[in-house]
Amino acid sequence: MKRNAKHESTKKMVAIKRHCQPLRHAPSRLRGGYPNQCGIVLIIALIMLGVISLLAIVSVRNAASSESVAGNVRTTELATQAAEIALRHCEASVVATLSTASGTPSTYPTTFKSSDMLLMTIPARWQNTANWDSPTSVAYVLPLSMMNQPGMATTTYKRPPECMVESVPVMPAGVGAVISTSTSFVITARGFGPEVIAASVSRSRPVGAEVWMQSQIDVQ
Amino acid sequence: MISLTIGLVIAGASLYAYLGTARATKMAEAQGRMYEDGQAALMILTQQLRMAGANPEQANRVDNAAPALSSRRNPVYLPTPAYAGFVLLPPAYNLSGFSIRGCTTPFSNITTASQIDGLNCVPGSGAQSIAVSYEADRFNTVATDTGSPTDCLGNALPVLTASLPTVVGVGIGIVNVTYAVVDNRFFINATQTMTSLYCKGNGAALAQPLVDNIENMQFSYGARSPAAASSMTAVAGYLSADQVRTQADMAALPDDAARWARVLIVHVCIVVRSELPVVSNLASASYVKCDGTLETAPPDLRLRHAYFTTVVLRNRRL
Repeated sequence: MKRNAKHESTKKMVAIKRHCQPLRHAPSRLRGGYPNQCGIVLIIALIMLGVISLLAIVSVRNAASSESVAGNVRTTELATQAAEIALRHCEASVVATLSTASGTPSTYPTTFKSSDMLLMTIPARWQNTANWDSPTSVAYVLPLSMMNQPGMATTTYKRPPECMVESVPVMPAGVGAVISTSTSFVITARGFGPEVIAASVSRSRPVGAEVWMQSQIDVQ
Repeated sequence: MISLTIGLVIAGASLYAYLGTARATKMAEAQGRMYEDGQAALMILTQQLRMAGANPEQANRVDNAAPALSSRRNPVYLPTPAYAGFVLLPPAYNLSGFSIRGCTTPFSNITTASQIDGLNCVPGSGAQSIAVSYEADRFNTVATDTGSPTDCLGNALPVLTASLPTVVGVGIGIVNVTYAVVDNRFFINATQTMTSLYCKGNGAALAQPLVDNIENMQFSYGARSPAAASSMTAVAGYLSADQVRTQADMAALPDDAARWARVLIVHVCIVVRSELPVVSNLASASYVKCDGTLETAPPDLRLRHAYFTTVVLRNRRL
């Protein structure tokens, strides 16, 4: 049995070898086909094709991953810029509102109202996302027109940034232990990336890039 | 014979094209990776520097009028509050004089100093180091699952307790408040095979790498003139970490804490290298260093690039 198997395999080898040897008689063209060729070019071409395809796949994958990294950086940066705009706008709005309240009308254009300045609770409202993402949200939403350049065919942002202004109660010394709520303000802003869709009526939790920033203002 | 020649030519051409593409791909990949490494490192440093000195005002605190001794904030930075009933625990913890501190070398005790004030700086050249501190809470750091604030490596921070006068009902009472202070130190650590941006936080004793393939890190500090009025926030000039201490006007200040308190802006430069040697000769491996000069004798065939950014210290109270 063993011997038989060996014999058979030797026969096969011979057969293959013979197939690749040129025939001595009769020009092959007249008989049709090219029996004196082994199709080695086809094999090499296929190997080359395989290698180049692999290379192309790797390149495409690398490019796709680089692109997604760059895309993420872009959305994060845009969200950061939006949060920055909201923070600055709300800081200026608080100063303008306080200035107007003290009898010096401010010319800073803002839709921010004195009712948007909240008295801080313990813990502060900004720490709880339910105070931001609910139909009864107490956050001040910037007008979208502040974010997108007018007259452009495509708009960058779909959802404007928001901020929450809370006055920090402190007890200044030497005034008979009276708590003051008009000297210190904490401003929390959050900005969204360009992929975040506009807020729905229910103001559910936004999905996408979101950047938070916070600052404090002391009135002197 | 003809077909054999054509076949060989085609095979040679495709091999050549393959080698060329492979080389270009390798180079593009190395550059892409360097850019991502550089961006990751600069982003971490930028965020940490912006936080330096954060120490927000807290609600319902009693203000004793002198801003320096104000108890509106949790006690993090000197001077020590001077009101009755003030206690800070643990007793070994000292209020810091620094919110930022740099050195032209890695601080000699960068992994062992217990606080930012205890860091030792031996001036020299090479990769620099920087330390920042700020009050950490579960919102401005990545909080643990139990809500503890963390250092740059994600280790939970030790809890500090201070007894402070606080508004209680309609009067004033002494109340214990808990908070945490983070002290993150950044430096470059090179081994035989790898050079990385490391961080050592005060949550654990071990320093760990944050970003690989960062070879050098240089800082210069935009400082306010000591002679300028306190309302002036203009930067008088950029100094190295050594010059912050030795420049004539700065040296006239009483101590290092007062000198570093003049720093308003930090200019960061990092040199990123490719993971593998990808360029063909040393001449192509030359690069522009952090100081703007050309490095004509690079140590090996890796690609190198310097990335810069400038960060304003937003929490610097003047």
